[in-house]
Amino acid sequence: MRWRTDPLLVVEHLTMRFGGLVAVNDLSFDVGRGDITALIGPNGAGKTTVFNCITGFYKPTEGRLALAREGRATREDVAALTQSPTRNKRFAEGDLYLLERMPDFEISWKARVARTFQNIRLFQGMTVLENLLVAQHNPLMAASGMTVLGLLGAATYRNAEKAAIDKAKAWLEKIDLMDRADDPAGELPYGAQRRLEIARAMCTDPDPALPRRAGGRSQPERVARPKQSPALHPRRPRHVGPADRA
Amino acid sequence: MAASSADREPFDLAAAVRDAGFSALVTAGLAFPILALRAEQDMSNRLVLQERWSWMLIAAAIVFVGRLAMIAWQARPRAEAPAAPAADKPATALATFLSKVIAPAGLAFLLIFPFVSLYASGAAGSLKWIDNYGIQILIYVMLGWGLNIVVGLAGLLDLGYVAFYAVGAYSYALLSTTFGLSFWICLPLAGILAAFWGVILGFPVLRLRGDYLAIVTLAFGEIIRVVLINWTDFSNGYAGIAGIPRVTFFGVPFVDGEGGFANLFGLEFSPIHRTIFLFYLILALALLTNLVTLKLRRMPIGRAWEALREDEIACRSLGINTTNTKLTAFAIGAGFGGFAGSFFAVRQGFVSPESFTFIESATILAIVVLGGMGSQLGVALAAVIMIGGTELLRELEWTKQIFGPDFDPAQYRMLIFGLAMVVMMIWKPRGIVATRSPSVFLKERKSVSGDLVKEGHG
Repeated sequence: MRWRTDPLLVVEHLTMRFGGLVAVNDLSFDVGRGDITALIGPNGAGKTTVFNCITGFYKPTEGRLALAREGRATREDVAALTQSPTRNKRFAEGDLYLLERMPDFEISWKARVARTFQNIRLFQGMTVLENLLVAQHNPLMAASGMTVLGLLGAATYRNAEKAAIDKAKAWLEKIDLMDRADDPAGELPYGAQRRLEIARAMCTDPDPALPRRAGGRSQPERVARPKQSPALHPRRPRHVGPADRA
Repeated sequence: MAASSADREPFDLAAAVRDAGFSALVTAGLAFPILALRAEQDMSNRLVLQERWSWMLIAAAIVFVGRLAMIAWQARPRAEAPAAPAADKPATALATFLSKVIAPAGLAFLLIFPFVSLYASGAAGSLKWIDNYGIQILIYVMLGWGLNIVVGLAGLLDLGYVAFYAVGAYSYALLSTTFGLSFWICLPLAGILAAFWGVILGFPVLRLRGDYLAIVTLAFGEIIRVVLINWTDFSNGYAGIAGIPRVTFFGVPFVDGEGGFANLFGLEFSPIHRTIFLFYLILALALLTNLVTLKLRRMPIGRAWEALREDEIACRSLGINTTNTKLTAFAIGAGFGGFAGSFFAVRQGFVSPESFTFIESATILAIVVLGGMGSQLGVALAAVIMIGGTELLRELEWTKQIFGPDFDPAQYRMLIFGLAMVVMMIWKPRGIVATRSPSVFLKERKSVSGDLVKEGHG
């Protein structure tokens, strides 16, 4: 029930139209910090569209998406941020980001939202380890001094790369793929690819992880009326088990 | 291939003859306007139609026999093919062994090449070997490596790469003739200017992918050329820019007499000195391109390029700014094109828009694709084959004894390379070096099969 007291993500009146198709119609819900929240609904209900809006792959036609990286997203702060021309601001209650104002890569980089995909999108021709290093692109890029220091062989970059590899190793240990670190990702069996994709998403240092679950054919472009699906009832998100973040 | 051995059809002579006959018929139809009829001007400038039916029949006969042989070869009884992994293992082992040996051996050969040819064929004879073969091939190796960043690593199909080559060449030509700047100042300037134009091109095309990107880059290449032709005040149009200062040995000119290179080092003057210096210069530039590319591949930016080639959407979900990533690929690739261009200008002493036609872009792209996209060694080998092969065709004097004294084998190079490309794409669709070497490894560097590596879609 932390979505009432400690909301992390506030979705308000989210509407996504593709031309005349209304994929998501006036959806509002809160996600609590530390809760595990699932979005459920029948095929074509618009679940993937909601995910694509939150992660910036679609620009919502209407609505507001506010995310608190630290602290919580209060109504007042969200309203104040909406009034200001900026995309993020630090309030007494928390560090707020307005996701609909950010391009997709910044949502991952700045707001720390990680995602995976329904049909796995790994870098198939790159090794498992490389996949996990690409996910750490932004900190490594900074450490390499926008490549210049790295080209000159600066120690800061070498240390940063070592740290990145250590982090990748830690995740490889966790997903039990240590032995296959040097194999191309495309050669892994399906289950391992899914685990690797999650590990890759986690390597971006996400704040809240937004994983798409496997299975279920979903065509987000279909017309849907999420209001009718009980799980997406406005302001009443259904939680799948009130568990702490793993 | 291995799986199809069981359901292979037995050799059916009648069907094979039918098939071959059909192929011969198609060939005859195609050859009729090309080979059988030939319009020639006679003494009074009238066009006279010559008929050469024997040529058409010979072509059809060659195709008939060839097709028959091909069908027979495909249907030959074979022992059960071994399991695919067992067949692949020695091949990849051989490939890694070769790649370990070829690169250092090739480099060592290149370092001693001018002196070997000087020793073998004397000052006059070696000029051809060092200039026409050595320098010419190395320019294309460098251009291939430069384009490899854009096409091979980042997966952005660029059909207008020659534009940056032209920018580099004209940068040096104009800066040196107008402001009297030396080659060593103009070289980095040319690279920077070309990189700048790479970014200019990059911005509008960032949203385009695949075919659309290819079309726009193609147009960009033509725009640069057409501007160079028509803006006569700036570039002197078709006439080009002549009298570009020649290369100096870090300030010491290659001239006869007092203060010249030969005089300074106590050598007898010979024009070969300049050529040998140019050879080492382009070798150094090409090696610089290679070194920077190899280093960049191990940097976050290089991995981001390859990730971009593999899956752009996944890149964005990982927080990678794909706009900047594409722009850096364009800029760095273009920069190396600019270096090569200014080298071209200092070598020729003359630039004109004629040197920067689309066929140059196509040749460079063919080198990258033929070599194996993303593979440095493959690109170098492909440049040797494509450019060296072109030069070799000029040498085939003996073909005149067969086809008559008017026969010029060099005129058939496009035909031959077209055929070579088709054969190559059937036999080795991923290029000469079809495997990708990972940029980082934990325990063991295993090369990645080309089948898994994407080619990029813009």
